[in-house]
Amino acid sequence: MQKKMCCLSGRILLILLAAAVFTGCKTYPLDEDGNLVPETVDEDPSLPSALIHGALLHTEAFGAVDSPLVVALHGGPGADYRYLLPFKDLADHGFRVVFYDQRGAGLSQRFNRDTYIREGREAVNHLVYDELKAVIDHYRVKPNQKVFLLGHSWGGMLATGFTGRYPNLVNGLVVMEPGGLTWADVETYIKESRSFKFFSETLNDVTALDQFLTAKDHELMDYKMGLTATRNDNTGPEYVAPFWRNGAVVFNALIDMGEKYKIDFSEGIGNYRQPVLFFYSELNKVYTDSWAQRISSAFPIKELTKVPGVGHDGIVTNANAWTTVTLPKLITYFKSR
Amino acid sequence: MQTTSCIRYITVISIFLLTTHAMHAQVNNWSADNKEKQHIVGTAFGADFGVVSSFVYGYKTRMLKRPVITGIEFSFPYGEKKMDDWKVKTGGQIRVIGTGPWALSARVQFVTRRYQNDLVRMIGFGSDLALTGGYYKRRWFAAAEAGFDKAIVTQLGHTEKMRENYAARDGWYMATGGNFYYGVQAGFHAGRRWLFYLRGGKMMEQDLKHSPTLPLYVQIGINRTFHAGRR
Repeated sequence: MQKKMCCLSGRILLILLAAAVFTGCKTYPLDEDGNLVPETVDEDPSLPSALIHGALLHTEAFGAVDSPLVVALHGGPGADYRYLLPFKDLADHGFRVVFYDQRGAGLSQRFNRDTYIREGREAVNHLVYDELKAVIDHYRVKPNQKVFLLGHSWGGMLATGFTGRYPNLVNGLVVMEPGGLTWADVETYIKESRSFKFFSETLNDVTALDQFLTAKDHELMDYKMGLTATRNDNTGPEYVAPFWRNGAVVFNALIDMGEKYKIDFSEGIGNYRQPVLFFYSELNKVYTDSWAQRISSAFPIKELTKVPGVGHDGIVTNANAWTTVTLPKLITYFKSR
Repeated sequence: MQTTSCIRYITVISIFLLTTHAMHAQVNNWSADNKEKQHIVGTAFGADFGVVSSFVYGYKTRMLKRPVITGIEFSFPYGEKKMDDWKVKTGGQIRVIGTGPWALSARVQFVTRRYQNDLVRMIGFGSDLALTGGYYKRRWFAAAEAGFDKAIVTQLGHTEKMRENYAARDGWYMATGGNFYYGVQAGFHAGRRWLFYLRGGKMMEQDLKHSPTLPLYVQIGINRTFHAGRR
């Protein structure tokens, strides 16, 4: 019996060995730049970048330099602005559209977890709001140049928090499905949007990956995070929104800090007396009408728009929804401010 | 690392497997009926990097004057797509030392696994090394275990969907990951041939700082032994 098993094992392994030889079996180092994820701006000088608030950020802007600024804030934390590039259309309507990957996210410079943790309760103030302020200062060329914030998901939460902090600086605020503004709502939204069925492929796609890839460095962690963000039937039918590279360290650090200090993105927004344009999607199962009412209740003056036929990302990434609903609403809103 | 290094690696793994023989049965009662050779078949259900079912075959005999089990375990997670993810472990478990009802055993397994989602397909080879020590009576046992599951080499093949985002390089990657695990196992016999068992514990990534998304493992299983001749 044992002899038979040995023979069988030997044959299988010889086949494996032969297959390895015939397929070349060249191996690559995990941490070599560019193997699994694109290089960041500090590694690839050809990318558009600027040194802002102590970090080299992946950033670019479109439209006349002295036109009203529309600053785009991507989701995440840790995503990038690639999926927000349809916002570029606003440049054709007289706006200066500013994109940037937040520090540690997308193609912007990476920092170790300690960089975020040591800021403690002030992590969001110092590293996110101050960074956004510095981005505005970087692109603003005249004192009376209007500033509009346009944030999707996590970006909508940041835009709200920033506006509550600098209400006189922000001439208009547009948020698209911010998960929550108080941390309790954020936690509820995360829990609901990631409540995968026990026997589902989605759950398995996330958990089984940990056998193959474990935390090592930014490249591997970012790559792994990108692989798990493939599809989420809870938040909409869209396939994964286009992205360059996720930032796993900043994602984990900011979520941890949020949990620890119960960050409140709605702080101060009650004093903002400008109308807020609030988008949410029809097919995000978690973002129901009642949830949209609950989250938007933080804004004293608001206009809610439910985008039909799309989910969380489709508000921007669905070409039809973008051209027929989202973009016209944005143009009307910005031009009225 | 170039082709020769990779071949050397696979050759070492092959030699390792050939010398350790094929095998399984992660859970065994070392005090139950050591007088005969046995075939062991079993099935288990639980959580192990996902919700999984597994089927096992083992052959219990003696080697180096010690009881040894060799065999194979096949496990697959649940999901809409069948057979896109699976894991096969082959190897052996040997009782290293023991006195009275106390026993310490070592398990060495060669692991082959596959994973696929919409962006990537992975095929990996690795090892699972573990020590189990406990109290074994004829009808029941309780033990603690600790081990390390290492992904030694993994082939990544990316889909067109992935390339729309970034053209990550396809190929073999060395030492892509590893997870430590530790926990307990316990079981009891129903009759001479049936063993019901439960095992569970915690997992940590090899840097001992991070935990897997599913940081716990738990398994409930049943084994049936068949007579395979006297020693």
